[in-house]
Amino acid sequence: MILLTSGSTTLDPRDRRRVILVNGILLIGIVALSLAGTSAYVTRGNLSLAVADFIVAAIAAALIVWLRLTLHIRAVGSSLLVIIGALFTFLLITGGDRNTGPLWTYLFPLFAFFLLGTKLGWLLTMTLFAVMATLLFQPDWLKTVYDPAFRGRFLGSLLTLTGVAYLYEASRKEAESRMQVALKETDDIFQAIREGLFLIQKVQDRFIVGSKSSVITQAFFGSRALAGSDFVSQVQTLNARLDISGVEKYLNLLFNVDFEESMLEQINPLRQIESFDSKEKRLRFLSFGFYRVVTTSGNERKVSSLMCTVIDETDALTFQKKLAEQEQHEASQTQLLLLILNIEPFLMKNFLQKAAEYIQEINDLFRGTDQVEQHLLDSVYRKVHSIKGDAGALGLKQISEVAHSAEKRIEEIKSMAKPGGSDLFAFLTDLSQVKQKCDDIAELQKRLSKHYHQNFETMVNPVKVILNKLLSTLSAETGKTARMRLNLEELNRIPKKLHGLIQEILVQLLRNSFAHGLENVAERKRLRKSENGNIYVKSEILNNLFRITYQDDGSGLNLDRIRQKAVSLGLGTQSEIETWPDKKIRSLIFHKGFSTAETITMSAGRGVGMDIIYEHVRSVGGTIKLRTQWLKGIEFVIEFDLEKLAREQENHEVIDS
Amino acid sequence: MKLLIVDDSMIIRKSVEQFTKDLGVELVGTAANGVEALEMFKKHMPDIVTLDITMPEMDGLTALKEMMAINAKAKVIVISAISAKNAAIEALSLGAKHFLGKPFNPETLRAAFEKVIKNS
Repeated sequence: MILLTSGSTTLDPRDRRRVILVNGILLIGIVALSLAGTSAYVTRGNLSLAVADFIVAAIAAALIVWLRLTLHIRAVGSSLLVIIGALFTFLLITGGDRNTGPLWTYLFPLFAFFLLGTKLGWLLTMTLFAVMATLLFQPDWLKTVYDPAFRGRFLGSLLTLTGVAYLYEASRKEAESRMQVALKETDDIFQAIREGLFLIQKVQDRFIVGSKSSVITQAFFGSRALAGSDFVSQVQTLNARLDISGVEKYLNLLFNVDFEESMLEQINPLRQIESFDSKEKRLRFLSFGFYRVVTTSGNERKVSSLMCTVIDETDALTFQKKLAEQEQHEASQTQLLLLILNIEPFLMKNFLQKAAEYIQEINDLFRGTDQVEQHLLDSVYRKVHSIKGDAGALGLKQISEVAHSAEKRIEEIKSMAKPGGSDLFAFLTDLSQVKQKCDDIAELQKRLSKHYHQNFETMVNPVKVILNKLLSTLSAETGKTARMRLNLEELNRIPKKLHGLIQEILVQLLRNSFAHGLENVAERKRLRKSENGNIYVKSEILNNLFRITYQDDGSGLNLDRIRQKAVSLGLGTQSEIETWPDKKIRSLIFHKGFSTAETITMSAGRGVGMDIIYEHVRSVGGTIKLRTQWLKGIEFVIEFDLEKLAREQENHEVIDS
Repeated sequence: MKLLIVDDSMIIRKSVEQFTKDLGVELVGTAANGVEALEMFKKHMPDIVTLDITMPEMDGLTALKEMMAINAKAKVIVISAISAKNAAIEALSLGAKHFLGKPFNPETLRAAFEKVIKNS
């Protein structure tokens, strides 16, 4: 075999086969000619024939050497065919054994097309045909006598065979070139793809890796050869602690077409598996993905193979880990201490008191009951939302984040058909974390309190401080900038009890301005507005009326969008809602669960802020009005009847006592 | 189609019952552990079983093996924590027809039921 193929490994498979054929014919020729030459000389004493035989054998040997050295298969092939053609012509002239010699000629077109392709094949075959036809019809040149019927049939059948051989060769060539294009494309894909990719086939009970894989794949498996290897043992060498029988069972499930691929994907045991990268000397995390190749025959669907992908997820996971560590660091006491030092103590005290009160109330609600009623959940949701908002305004990120998570859990519970005690568990865990963090701060603040000698409450307007603080927090969060003018002097003339409410309302409005109203700098430039947004808050007392006006010059309300949203929420049909007056459309934003923000962020867009404000205002008998112009801005006017407030205050006090 | 619901959480039992009401299945019993589940299984011979894996007394995998020995044609939908991957693989290898990770939503539960019913 080595003799037949050596030196041809760099050729494509087709030329390799040609080399093998040529070498085979030549070797057989050499042996046959040597034997014939020897026998001619030894048994018949025919020296000239013997010499001729050996000369031809020598030519054959020379051709082998030529082919070995140059790999010029077409040149060597043509020479070989010329020799064979001459041999066949000789057989025709002599008639061979009992006039059967010419029959060997049938081999010629087959060899010619196979070795030289169609063009050169035709040329040589037709030349031989012409030579033979001439000889057959010039009996004088022949050394034997052929039957006239034989001559015609021989030539006719040779011609037919040549035609058939040509057709066969042409169609084979076409199929091959098509296959080669496909192969080239596959190779390109495997070369270019950035993740591990290969096929897995099930052979008996083993899972065998296919012959091709993307170039990058090998890097995951080190130096172990992949093609044709056992996938399960490959995986085992990646991580010896893996439950290999589980992996095998999983692969079997994948090959069972009855199980859904998406379901199996959820329980993929080869996701984020650890593996030691011996080259880079580090631990890495690999994730395998499996996609089925399904073939259908008749009604039967079958998984014929799996396409397997491999991704290195180390970087992503390391990043997550770093983030987690960073968060841990932020939670450290030092960090907390710094925060406390940066927040006015009275604000902190207010917040802690309120949070403690709310948490106590929530805990009382759930104590001793497994049944959770919907309206209770709404009130719990509002309380948590309020804690979140205040913590955010003070910059207490850890608390606002836990509160955010608690808020989401309440939302989930609200959407359940019949929530029970165990569903509340996660929420109450979050809530106790909020409590824990608040207690930590309270403890630290107590220790620090010795160092504070001033009573801030008389000096600073708390609402003003908190709004300014929130403004800078929101600017940093959203990248939007705004100038805020506050005129809150009249606040000192209304009952202290209302301050908290006014503060909550203004905090929510400011958040909304940043979340919905104010545009970013680029957008504002485009609209020919000042780069900074403008916010104006004013307090007035007119007779018995206390009025707060809040304005921003953001985008205002897009009534068309609110109409669309109303339709999509099913509040009415398209045509009904089109007839609603603008006033009714504007008032929709005060409804529970109505929000037009596309994204949900920490600060707004959860569709709860405006309805909280509305309820708060209404709970003390106030009114809220809004004016807006699309792209120009929005104005809220909130009014309270001070006399009425005072009366209610008295009533409450009577009842309470 | 007779349905047996097996889960140690009352809430899961209730929600499976609730969500599958209008799928044309008839609830023949609920069980909170493997032992109870097997008794119910023998008594009612249900066509569909929803089965939790981690349960007191007898775990879901053991119960599943016994159920398959009694009636291999029963369609078992395993409902368990998504983190219990190996248990899920084991259950499907033992003859369960579908796996559903907790927490699930009504749509995926109903889709699982519809698929299992269609294939029977």
